[in-house]
Amino acid sequence: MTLISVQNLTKHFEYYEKEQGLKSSFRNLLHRKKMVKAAVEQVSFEIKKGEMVAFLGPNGAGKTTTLKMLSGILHPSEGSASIMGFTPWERKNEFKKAMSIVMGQKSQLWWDLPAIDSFYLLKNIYDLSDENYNNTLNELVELLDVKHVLNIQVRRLSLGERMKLELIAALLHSPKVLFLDEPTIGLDFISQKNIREFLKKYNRDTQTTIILTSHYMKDIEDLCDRSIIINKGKLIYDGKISEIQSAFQRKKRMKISLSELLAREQFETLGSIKEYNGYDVVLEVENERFKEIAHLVLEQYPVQDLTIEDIPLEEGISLMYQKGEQDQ
Amino acid sequence: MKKYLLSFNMGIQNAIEYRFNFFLSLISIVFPIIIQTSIWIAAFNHSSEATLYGYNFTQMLLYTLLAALISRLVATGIEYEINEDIKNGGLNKYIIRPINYFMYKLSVFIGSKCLQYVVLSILIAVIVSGTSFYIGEYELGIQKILLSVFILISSCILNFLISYIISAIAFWLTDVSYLFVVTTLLVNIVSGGIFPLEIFGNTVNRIFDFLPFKYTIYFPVNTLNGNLFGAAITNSLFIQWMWIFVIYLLAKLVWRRAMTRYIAVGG
Repeated sequence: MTLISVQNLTKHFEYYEKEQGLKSSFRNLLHRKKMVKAAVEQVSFEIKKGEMVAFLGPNGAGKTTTLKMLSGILHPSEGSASIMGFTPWERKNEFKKAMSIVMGQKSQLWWDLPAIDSFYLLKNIYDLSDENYNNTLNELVELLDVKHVLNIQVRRLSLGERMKLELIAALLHSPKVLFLDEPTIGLDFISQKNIREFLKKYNRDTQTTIILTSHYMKDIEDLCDRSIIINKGKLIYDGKISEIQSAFQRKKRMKISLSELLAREQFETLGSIKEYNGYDVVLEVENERFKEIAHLVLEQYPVQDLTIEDIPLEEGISLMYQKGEQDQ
Repeated sequence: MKKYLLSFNMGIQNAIEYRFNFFLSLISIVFPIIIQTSIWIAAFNHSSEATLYGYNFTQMLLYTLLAALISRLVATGIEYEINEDIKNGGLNKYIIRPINYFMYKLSVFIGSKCLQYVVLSILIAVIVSGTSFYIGEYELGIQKILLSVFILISSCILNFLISYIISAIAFWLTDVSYLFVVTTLLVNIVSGGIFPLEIFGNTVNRIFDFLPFKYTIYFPVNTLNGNLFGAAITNSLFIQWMWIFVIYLLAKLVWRRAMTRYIAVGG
């Protein structure tokens, strides 16, 4: 069942440019050159109920802007979107009650209050019954293990604790669609892992449709099957994450440690040399040939250690960004 | 409705948290009163007339005192908060939730002003009943008291709406917090919060008649000091409510337009 359908979504921002220096500041007082930036350009996609989709892209690619339009915060310049039959930027109450957005860099809790007060206010904002509220809250508090911080002013909490509370605040009313903008940004490794595990479980148990943006590939690899890659406002890929891997990974990476110094030329025929310092060599070799080459290296060279690995997803994706830019 | 009651509670909690700030603000109104009183003492000393702009010395002092207190009573300061919300994207959390930003702001605002309302009302009541006892210029019946309270409440509503509509400027101009210092002062002056409006002369007063501002301070002060009575009060009250209605509609319109161009900067 298609839950979200987006067609030719476009957002232009106006801004002004100022050249360096005082003189141009004065010039700008009188006459400013108006520029238009296309933050999001003709983006279309569809998302089914219960899916967990990642939005990927470098900084400034338009991921957050897209999420803001889908959650109704921003009006688009062009295009249409339908989420559960609603147009987000009409900001209907029925729509607001069925969705939620968490922004990693923007707290939605009331800073001067303990989280429990914010939650109680949210209960009333969303008209939740006592029973419903208590059940959901207890369950979420249990899952995220934050019982001990509920009565402390939010401003005094650590980033990790706050992020968990933000998630609870967003999920109290059991939304059908959840947008997450950089939910793990700035968190330490363990907190990231906790949040990932929580989201995974939550998505599996409740069938909530989740769209998330993140810079951490681990988030994406762990959580989402599907990713939508945006660069410079344009959609450049929409599909399985594993297929990004295979599209860019016709190669494997081989790390070789040598016990004796060997000349660079010795490796040049085997594959492309990524790193070389005489004792340690990193080679990229074709998938079809890696067995043969590994064999050859082990037999003929004074090898101390040899590891073979896939090229990391990050590199596959950055190759994709570059490809996207060349195509334009 | 319970959500707004809770917002009101949050306002009270905030006010208690920042109570010291409130007492400082009470002390701070003493200084302009001293300055203005000194100016009027000098003005009356150098004038051969017993009245200036239609006020004798005692009436002028009474006006200055009441105007200072009522200015504080109707003052909002929500422009700065709303400017922050718009500038830093804090507005987001209200846009995405089934809550009305205006109603929310209003509830929190009234909650945070509760303590002020009580203290200022007592001060105003003491001053008004003191002068009416001392000078005996007019009767202070229960009817008059109820009417005065109603007018003061209406003035607060009107001034809140004016602030709300002014704060929408922040949607069009980025970082206008200093502009609000100017608008607040300007609105206070043309509302009669510093001097009685008579000092601006007849022509300017004709213009003021067609503006909402004098119905926030000048009108309640002149009701309380006994300058206005009978039909003059009911007429002004009628115009005051007309303005409340007009500005409410206008604010709704402006905010609806403004929300479509909101750019939700940051995170």
